[in-house]
Amino acid sequence: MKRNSIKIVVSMILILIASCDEPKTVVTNYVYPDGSVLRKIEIRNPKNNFKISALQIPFDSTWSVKDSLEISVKGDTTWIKRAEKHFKNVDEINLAYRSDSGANKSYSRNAGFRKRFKWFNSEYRFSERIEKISAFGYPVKDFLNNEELLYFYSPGSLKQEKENGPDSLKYKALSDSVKNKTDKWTIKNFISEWTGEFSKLTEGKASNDISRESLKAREAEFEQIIAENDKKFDSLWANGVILKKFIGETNALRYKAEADSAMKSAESIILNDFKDYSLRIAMPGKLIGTNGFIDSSKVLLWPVKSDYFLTEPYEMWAESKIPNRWAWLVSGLFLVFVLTGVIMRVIKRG
Amino acid sequence: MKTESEKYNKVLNILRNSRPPLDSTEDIEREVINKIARAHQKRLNLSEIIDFLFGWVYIGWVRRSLITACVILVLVFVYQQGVILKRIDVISRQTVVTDKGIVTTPTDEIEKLLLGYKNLGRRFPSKTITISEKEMKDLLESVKELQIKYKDLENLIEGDPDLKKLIEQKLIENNRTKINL
Amino acid sequence: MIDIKLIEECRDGNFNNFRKLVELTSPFAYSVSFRMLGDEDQAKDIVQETMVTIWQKLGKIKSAEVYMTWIYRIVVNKCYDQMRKRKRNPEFVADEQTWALISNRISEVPSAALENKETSKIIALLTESLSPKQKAVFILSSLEEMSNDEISEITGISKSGVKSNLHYARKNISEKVEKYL
Repeated sequence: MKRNSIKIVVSMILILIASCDEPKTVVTNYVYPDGSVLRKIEIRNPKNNFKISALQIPFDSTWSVKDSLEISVKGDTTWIKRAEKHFKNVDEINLAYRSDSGANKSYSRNAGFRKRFKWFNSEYRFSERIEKISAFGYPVKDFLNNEELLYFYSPGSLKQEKENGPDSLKYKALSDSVKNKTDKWTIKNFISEWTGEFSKLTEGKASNDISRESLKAREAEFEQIIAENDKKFDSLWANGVILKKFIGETNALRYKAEADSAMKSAESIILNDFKDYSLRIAMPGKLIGTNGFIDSSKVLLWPVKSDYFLTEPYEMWAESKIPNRWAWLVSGLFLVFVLTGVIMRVIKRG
Repeated sequence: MKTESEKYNKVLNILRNSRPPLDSTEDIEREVINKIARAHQKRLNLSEIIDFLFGWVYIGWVRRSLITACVILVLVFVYQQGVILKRIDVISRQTVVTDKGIVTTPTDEIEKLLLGYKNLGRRFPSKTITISEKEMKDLLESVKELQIKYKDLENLIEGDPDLKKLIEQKLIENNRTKINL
Repeated sequence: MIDIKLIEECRDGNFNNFRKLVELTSPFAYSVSFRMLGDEDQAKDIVQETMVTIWQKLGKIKSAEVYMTWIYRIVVNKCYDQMRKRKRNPEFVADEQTWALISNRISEVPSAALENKETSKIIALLTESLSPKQKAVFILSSLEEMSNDEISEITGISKSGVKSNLHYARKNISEKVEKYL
């Protein structure tokens, strides 16, 4: 028992170290009224080793790059790379996403910009969207209430602040609740993904009892089977025991390959290799709407994590407005002109 | 004294009687009439301009249309600004973050993998990694610390039979397959 | 004396009658403005401007006395404006030679034989050190032979003010007369 626990602890630490290989990245988009974007990337790495394949958003020679480093009080060194580039429009950003050679190249990301002329004001909208990766998953809002959803989407720093703040008990309880529910959500997604993939692979070949609808109706049963056998899941799956329990011996034997393939597919989606980063947007004019978090300098922040676009597209958007002063002037003059005429008429009549 | 005032009076008399003659009033009359006519013309021009600019006031449908346009403009303005102000108000109540430490923490990555491990009994894929001496030191320190804490916890539970019983009971009740004691 | 009927007829926009009014008014308006400014052309301009102003304000004139007061008041005010403009450029500079010439001229001529230029020179030199108000009071009283009440109405200065301004002007001029003439 002791050895098991140490094994787990060591593995956790190895994962921690392994994930420390990944750079910490913040991408900031400075949006201008003409639709151009100045994109700045700041990457912090505990090693002086910025592999393109490990970068969440890579850059090339067309970017202006600066290197620096910081040494903390404890003596830890952090290497920092700052890159910036001015994109004429969002199409260029989207082109860069499509030719991405970094860690997140297989994820579909898209930027959008829209300007609306509304006479007195011009309204601008900028968004970045990541398409969902799971075809059969459940939306997270089916599992979390509004407060939990807000917590779920919060950046790590905000969560830490709340958990260490005056209402720490409340937020720690909230954190646990969100964790438990998202664990359940992930399992359900995993099962749904597997059943979806499996039924897709066996479509036309299999009988009705392993059709999408019938398997979906039995997801709770599958969940139960997993829960009962979670310690030896790997070996039981490999032996086909779990599969037999779920879809019967005949089907299990016949469709083992498809089941394994669906399992691999579900694993790759649920336990994906997306490298998290943070996205910030600074909009022109006055901010009027966003689904992000606002910092003190009115720059908006979103954490970008795979959970957010697992079962639904993740759109980070912001809207702002700039008053059209000339339109105000023209309207004012028009109003004064008409008012003057009306008053003059009244006076003459009087 | 008399002589003084006599001289003064004489000069004054001369000046008094030397009233400047106005040779012809006709020029003055003509100029005055011209100036009045020019001023009148200016006023006429101004009045013509005003009529030109504001003549529409006397045409019913034009007046009504322009007034309607004004009203619509004002309503549009009020509506737009109202909507914007409302949105700004909503925004101002949205969560504000501080600037430090805005990146995601690595524990999210661990959570994901741990979930997979915990719930699906997956083994971690074997991988080769290179770590520095410092990281090795940190790793060994953490292990040592955890071992000590684990031992303390074990002793605590072993030392209290009631506590041990309670924990074991809870584990059985919840059918949990967490790390067993 | 101006007939109020003439003024009333002018109010109806009758230019012919107004021409007559100009003809009757111009001489004494010219006299005051010429004595104040010492320049024929400027004096004529003042008269023209005065009459144009009168045309615009005909509706407010209810009697001949009011009319006369208005004429003088407008003339004097316009002369003040003109004098302010040319304050820094005195027309005539007083020196020994000039005074000698004037003195000879005065002793030569009979009482009403001075020409306009001579009159303006003498008045300018004698009133050189007077303020525009003092000059106006002196000219209206001593040369135009108006009463203090009339002068007070025209200039807007109180009666006691008129008296003191007049006393000062007379004293000043009389000293110059004794000294130079």
